[in-house]
Amino acid sequence: MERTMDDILQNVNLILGVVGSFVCSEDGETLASAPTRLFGRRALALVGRLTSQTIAGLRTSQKTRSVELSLAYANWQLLIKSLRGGCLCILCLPGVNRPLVRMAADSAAKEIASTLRR
Amino acid sequence: MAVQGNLKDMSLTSLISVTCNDRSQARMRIVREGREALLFFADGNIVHAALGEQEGEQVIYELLTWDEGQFELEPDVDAPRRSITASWSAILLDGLERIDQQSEREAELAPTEDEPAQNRNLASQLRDIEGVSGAVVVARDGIVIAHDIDGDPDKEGAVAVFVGSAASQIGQALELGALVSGVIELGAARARMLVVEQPDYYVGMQLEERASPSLVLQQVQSSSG
Repeated sequence: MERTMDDILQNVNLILGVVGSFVCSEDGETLASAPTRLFGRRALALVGRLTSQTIAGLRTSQKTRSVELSLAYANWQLLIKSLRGGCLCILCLPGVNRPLVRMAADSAAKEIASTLRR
Repeated sequence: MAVQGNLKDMSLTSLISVTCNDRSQARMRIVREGREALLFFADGNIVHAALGEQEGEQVIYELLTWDEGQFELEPDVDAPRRSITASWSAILLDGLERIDQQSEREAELAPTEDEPAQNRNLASQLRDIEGVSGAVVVARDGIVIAHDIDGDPDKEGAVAVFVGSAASQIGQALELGALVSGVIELGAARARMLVVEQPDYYVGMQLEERASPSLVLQQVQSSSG
């Protein structure tokens, strides 16, 4: 049975140090987020636009489909991974096992892209 | 008979010195970029100087900064009035000292002349960090201040600013605090750039295949104090 986007995100969130995750479309629309109430709707709408514009810009200027951003803030890490039809964002604590998160993100991105195609 | 020439070929200090030592009575007319200055000589001294509305010693001080201009020395012309009483040698010494002081002040107040060299140095220092294959220093408006990079510095600088700026905005929207750094990974080849935000600019560093962004960032932070 195919998993929903929420199921996929909740699975990513099981990794120790992952606080939450969300998926944006190429238009910047938030398609799914988990936990649902972690991010405010307005904040997510703005972040969706920013991430989709950033990825679109990098794709155009660098002539590549695959874009990954690993952003480090004072007390947080944000991984943004492009996928067909949008992008996956994973918010983590600084001490998170990054290789594990990236492996989970790769796997989740394929599943989400497949879900988006349907 | 009038003597003519250009200050490029004979300096004003020499002209004044020669005319005063000859104790000539004369008028010197100097024209540069549409401005006309008149100097009057009598009894071995400069007795009057005029430049536009200006008169007196200040005119000589200004004329000493002119490194070119057509001059014409016409003998036996009386001064219309006297605006200078100091000796010609004292005026020249004072004028040349003022020029030296002005040059020193300009050198002190000209950090912009040193800044590019410092930034070039910064870009090269960053490239020297183990794991860094190129560095670009770019202002927030996208202007590349310095680079030590093999590719297109404008293109790489644009990527650094574009991502750095968006990352800051994302951090603000989600209340994640200040951006520390960002790693951009592109394409199947997984080319990576580490972006670090500084108060006035962004630094973008191309990373070698096996470089650790964390270790490079540590080096950058320790080198910037």
